[in-house]
Amino acid sequence: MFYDLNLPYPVQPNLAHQQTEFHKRIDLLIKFGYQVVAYNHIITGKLDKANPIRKLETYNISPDSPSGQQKIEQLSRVTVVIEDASQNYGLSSTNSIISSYDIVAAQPTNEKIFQNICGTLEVDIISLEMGSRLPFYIKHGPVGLAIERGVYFEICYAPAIRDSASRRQLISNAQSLVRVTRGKNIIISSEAQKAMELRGPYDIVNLGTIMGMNQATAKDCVSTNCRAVVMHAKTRRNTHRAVVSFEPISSLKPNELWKVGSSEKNTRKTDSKGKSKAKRIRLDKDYEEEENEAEQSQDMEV
Amino acid sequence: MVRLKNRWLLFEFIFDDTPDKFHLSTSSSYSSLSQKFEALSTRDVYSVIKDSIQLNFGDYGVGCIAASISVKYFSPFTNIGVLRVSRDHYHIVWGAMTFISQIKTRSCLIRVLHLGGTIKQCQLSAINYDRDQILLLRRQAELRGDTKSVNVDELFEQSKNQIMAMEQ
Repeated sequence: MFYDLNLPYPVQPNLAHQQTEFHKRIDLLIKFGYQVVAYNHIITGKLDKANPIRKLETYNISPDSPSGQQKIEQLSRVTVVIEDASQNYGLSSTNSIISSYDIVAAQPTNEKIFQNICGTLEVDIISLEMGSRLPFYIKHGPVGLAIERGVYFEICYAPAIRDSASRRQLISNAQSLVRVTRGKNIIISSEAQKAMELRGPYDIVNLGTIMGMNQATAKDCVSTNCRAVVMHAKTRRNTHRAVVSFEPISSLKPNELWKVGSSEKNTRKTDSKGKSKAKRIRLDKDYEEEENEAEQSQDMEV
Repeated sequence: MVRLKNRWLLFEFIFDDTPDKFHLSTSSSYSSLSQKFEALSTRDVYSVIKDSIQLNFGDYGVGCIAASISVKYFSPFTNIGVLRVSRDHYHIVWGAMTFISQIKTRSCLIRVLHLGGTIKQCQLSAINYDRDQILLLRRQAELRGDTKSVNVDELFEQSKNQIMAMEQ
């Protein structure tokens, strides 16, 4: 299963040409075999009413589209550019604006903020602008802290395809990130403004080997690691201390209603405790093991 | 004497201006497309890949692959091709292909469909790819209510013969 966790959402989604370009990109992602895509909003400055959030429309695949019946899972993502460490950006799951997005990413602009994000902020992805020169060195200390907390670093490959100067910067920045993280906790995503800047998942795996990873870790960057990011986001949003989640009874299927003792077949009376179903979330590790097994059969001969 | 081992890459060109490839129903409409855009030859594909290697990997990159690289097949109708390169340096060629964004002023992208150790496997997966494309075209035609009968078997046979005609 391949993921692209950064597809910029059009600035003015109502304009026809922006919309067709956007649909073109999604069509191409489906053709390439991606199964999950996250639409990204970049927000600079404070998160308040001054930044009204545009709701993401669900992209429906028409039956006669070239991609046929294939489905793609859609997520929403927000990237907050943090410029001032002293300012409170309200990045917590209690913030209703933040929790309306599936994935939260933060982009630091100086070293102090980078340390702050790695160590304390409640985000899923740390996004560095790798197409241009980074204003600071990526150091072992904060990076180790972020890996321990399960936060992932992002490399966006589209700038490298756009022009030669940012290609140089991106390869240099990506190599230093890979060196510091030892290839762990990295995801690769597109950030493609145009459809022609997208690439197939296996092309990206090969690109990862150029950035200094080995084949297996590079493949994890577009599959397993992205899944871990999505799971991390889910546990951050919908659970109590990442252990227990609650679902309304209405979400249960008819044949599962016996679990709460309220089915027609079951004559037992519903007690007050049965109003919501508690579900344990398994550790991410378990999920990853399953994922690895499932993917072995899909492996391309590389 | 140690044998020189190769890798075979099956790749596909995707163009910005003709996603309407899906709306062509017969092979004859392909020719109208190639009149509109100058058809690409094997030589064009070779030179665009080599230029990209020169740009991204420099003289060292070109030196590494110069002896072994050769574009064995390219079809301007289906936009797929097969390329041979020595096993030690295939990632250079693949990386350079990833960075290609235009060919002859026409913006495009290259996707690698198959990477194999023998030409046989590449041919087989090229045939599979062609068959999928032909069936897709037919389904598109049917969905639009195009009643023009397309001889699918003939197209299968044609593409198969062309692909198997590749020599080592």
